[in-house]
Amino acid sequence: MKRIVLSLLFFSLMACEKTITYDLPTEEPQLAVTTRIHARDSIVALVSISSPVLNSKTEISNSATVILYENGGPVTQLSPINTGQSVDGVPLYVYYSSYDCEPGKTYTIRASQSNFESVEGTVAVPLNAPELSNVSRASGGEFREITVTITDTPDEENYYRIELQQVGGTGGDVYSQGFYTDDQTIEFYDGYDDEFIEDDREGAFGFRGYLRDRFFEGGSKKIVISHWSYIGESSPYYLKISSISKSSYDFERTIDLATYSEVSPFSEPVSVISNMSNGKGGITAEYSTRILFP
Amino acid sequence: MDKHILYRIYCVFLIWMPLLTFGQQGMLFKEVPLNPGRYTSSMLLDTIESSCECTLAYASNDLIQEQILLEKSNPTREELLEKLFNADRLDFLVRKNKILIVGKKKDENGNPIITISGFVEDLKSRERLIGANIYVKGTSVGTVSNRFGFYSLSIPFTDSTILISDLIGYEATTFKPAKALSTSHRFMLLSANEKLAEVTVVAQESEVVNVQMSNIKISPEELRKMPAFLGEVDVIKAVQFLPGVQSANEGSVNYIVRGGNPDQNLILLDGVPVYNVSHIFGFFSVFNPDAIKNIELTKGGFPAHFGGRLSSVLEVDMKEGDMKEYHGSGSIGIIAAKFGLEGPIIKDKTSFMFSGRRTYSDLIYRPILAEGIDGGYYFSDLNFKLNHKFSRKDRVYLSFYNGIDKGFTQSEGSGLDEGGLKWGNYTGALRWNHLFSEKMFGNLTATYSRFNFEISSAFAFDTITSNLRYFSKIVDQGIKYDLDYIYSPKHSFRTGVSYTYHNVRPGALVINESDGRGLDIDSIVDLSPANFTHDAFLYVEDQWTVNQRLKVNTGLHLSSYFVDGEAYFALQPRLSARYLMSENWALKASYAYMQQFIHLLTNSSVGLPTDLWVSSTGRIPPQVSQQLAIGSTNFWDNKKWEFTTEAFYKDLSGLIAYKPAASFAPAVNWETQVLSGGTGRAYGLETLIRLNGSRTRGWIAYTLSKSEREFDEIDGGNTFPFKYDRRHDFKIVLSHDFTKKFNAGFTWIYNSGLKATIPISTYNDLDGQTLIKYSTRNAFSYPSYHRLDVALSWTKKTSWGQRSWGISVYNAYNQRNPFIIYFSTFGDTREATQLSLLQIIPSINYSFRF
Repeated sequence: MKRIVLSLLFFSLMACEKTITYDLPTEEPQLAVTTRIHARDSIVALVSISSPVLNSKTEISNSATVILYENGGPVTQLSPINTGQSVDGVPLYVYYSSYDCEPGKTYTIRASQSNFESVEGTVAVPLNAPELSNVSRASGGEFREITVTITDTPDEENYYRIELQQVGGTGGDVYSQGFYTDDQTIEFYDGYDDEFIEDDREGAFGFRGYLRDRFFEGGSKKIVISHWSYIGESSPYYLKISSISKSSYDFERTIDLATYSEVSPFSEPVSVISNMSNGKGGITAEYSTRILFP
Repeated sequence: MDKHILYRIYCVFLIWMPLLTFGQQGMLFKEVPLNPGRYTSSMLLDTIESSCECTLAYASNDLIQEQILLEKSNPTREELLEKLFNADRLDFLVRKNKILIVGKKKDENGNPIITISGFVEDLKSRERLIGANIYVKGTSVGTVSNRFGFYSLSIPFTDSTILISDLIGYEATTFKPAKALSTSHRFMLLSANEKLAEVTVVAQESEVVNVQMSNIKISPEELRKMPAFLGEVDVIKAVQFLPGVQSANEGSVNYIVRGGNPDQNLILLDGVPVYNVSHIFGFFSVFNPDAIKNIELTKGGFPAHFGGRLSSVLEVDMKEGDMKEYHGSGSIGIIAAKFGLEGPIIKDKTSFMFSGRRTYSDLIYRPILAEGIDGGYYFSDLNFKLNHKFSRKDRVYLSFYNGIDKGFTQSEGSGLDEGGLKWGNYTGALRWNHLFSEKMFGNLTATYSRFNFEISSAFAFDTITSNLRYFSKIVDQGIKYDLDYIYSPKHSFRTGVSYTYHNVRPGALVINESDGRGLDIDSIVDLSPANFTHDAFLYVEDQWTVNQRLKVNTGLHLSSYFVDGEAYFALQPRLSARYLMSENWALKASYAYMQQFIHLLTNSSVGLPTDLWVSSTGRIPPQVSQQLAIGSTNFWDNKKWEFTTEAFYKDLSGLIAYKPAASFAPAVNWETQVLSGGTGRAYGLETLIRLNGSRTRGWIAYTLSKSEREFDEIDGGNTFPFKYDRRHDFKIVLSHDFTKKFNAGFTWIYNSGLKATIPISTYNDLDGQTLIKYSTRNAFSYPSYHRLDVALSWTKKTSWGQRSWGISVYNAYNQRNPFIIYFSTFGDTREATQLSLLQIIPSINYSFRF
């Protein structure tokens, strides 16, 4: 009897999954260009071709024509470079130029490829790199604490990114290191992002923290971050703070939300914001200040 | 002056102001020291005058010098005056400290106006009946009994005046006033259930008589004959079959009314708000059908006494308990059993009702769990009500409800590891009904409502112990006074005040840890600060019978809400009108402005206990709606068929929603997770065809509607479809008594699918990471939903009562309806997978009544 009741209960409450074919809204493949302009440094772009959601084939282009325009006029064509890495088995190409983009100027990236509509987007490079002062580094047991003060430019909306970059590897690659802070003005992190509790330290741990000047508009902001002492023991590392364009902040913010929404069963999904016309992706710009340690 | 003192004075003023109006009426109820015997009219008048500091004012020729026989000692002044002036030409009025004897009011044809008042009760159990119609035969002049069964009707008297009282599920009964005398009369209605198919169950006449529109009742008898889910019929699931009402999702007791949000529905159990009506994550509601005597849904045209929610009010009333005899009822289904008992404590004076329900699946499988592991899940309900008649004019009710859902696991290996979740409601109400006169009825109610949710985990290993407990709760304590006053044949007045103290605690974490070596943590972390708020309102309503055809209900609801030093006030106008085209056809229109101060933060559609009730704050203002509705109600074939159609337009503002990507997260303050200031609108057309036959009963309902939302931060501020924007919604509910013993019923539902935001395409960012582009918010429609449920029941009368076997089949043709659609990636391909929750589910149920 017990088995009968249990079986009945089981079948009664059993959910059923079914793979179905829906007439989903279709969208023609488009060029998707994500571009990052580093003022006084370089321009990097990646061109991919979007695919319908039920065909998640990765297509990264190396045959597109990617041209940079400065204040409306073409200034350089970006060249495809094989990074040696791959995504889903597809070689990862990026388009690169060492053109010296000037702070305060407006740049447009335009990409075209046969069979696709040209796609373009525009961004203004931040006029100033962050003004940093009172930089100090202190050792506290297994942690090192870095203190820095950012002076904000008044009367404009400014966005910042803070990160630690370590130089390593035989090629001198630069890669981000995680840090933690209890500074509540850092609104989100890309890369790893988690609550940090260790000994008497509490805060958030992550890579590349983003903040706005809304809490210190036109004034100064002292930030304290900590990292494990072993970082930098064998090679130098940088504290890098960048003034970033609003598009950069929004782009990274929506990537962060989209990542979170994909793992949360009840939250509404989030699309990554795009400032490209006729296609997808985004163009962002940043102007950085780096401080070398030790 | 301190703000708290100010609003306390304000609340005290609100509570006592209407009571002050009783003073002048109260003088009628004082007793006059007289012994039984014969007296002349002038003697009696002198005695009344001398027994009080009042003046009797009358013209000398008004007096009738006849002998009056007093049967009882110490009659009240009112009773004496009634005896004195029992002719058709005199009446009396109270004005300040004077009693005026005046000529009796007459209508335009010279017929004297009389007032008939009293209660409508169940003939057998003496339970008072809510929403019964009382009307003059052959006319549409009438009224409806209030929530305590009281009615009062002023009508012109003729020799052929006959009053009829009826109620759906009951046999109609009549009363013929013998003379032109205002009097009280108790209508005693016989339940259809007592005679099964022998009675003609009449239609809900009030749909034509009543000025109220967008209001539907379901009788307990109709509910019992609807198909059951796992052997349990459910109040909320029955309500979801009404026009304009939709289930939020498969199997869920969350419901949507006229395009509103699920939290915009006020659910009252004996007048007390119930905040979470779900058991087993929404598959069952907290209402035990055996304990219920009345279910009434109001979707629009809200009278001024309603407030606090934007979209609907569902009133569920518990049985009062039989005053005459003891009765019991019970049932055993697949997952739950229930038992109830009611009867007199003191015959005709005090009665009780008790009903309990519990699931027992945990009791079955716990014994077969592995050694060292324990766990289970159950829910239970307990309803209790006491009702005591102090006198003909005073009655007190005490009602209580407690419902619990509890799930737990425990394992004992190298240490102890246990966890659990628990949620539940407690509600209580203490009411005092007082009949001041045949024209004035008062009700004082004290209420308590509490919903709490808790997740806990405990861990013990060696010397280390850890206890974590997250909880959220909302507690209401309130007091309310309502007064019904039939001012004149043309004006029926209602007023009242209410004050509720809300304790809203959206989330707190209790941490208790010890490593056994002196490191102890014992703290409470208020993740979202608690709000202690004051919610008071005052309302006035006047139902004005302009002429035989036109009746208008106008009202004002003055609401006030105090939170975080912020005060929200609103004057909310209400208007309803009914115009009779003929005896069987009424046109109706209504307008209602509503405000809502308590909100539900939810991302799920199933009514999870993790949904957070939160208060308006200084940053989050109240939600507001305005609703306009017009409609028509027709009866055909001697009121066997009813056809109602209504069109509505509802405008919403101040809506809140989780921010994109946000959802229930116990570790954060909810205010940082929400968007506010959203707007929306919903409009549509509802039709209802209802059959009230002697053997066949049911309805067909169709709703065509659209519902939209706008938030500045979503889709660039563009308008997007509401998640529950189902364009078409069609339902059939039918039951037929084939014989006195055998009944069959079915329900069929079809509606357009839910709206959802879905991924459209993918591309890569600079790091090669795959990004997903989604459709605009809710741009995709799930496939349509349809389902057939069937119920068969065999009832047999026995020497001790009756017993029934019931068989129900949920989703009889095994339709795989979508509950959720999700996308998965497998290498180069991505799949859309539909999760269908409930397939064909047969169930059997045994029930008995004695």
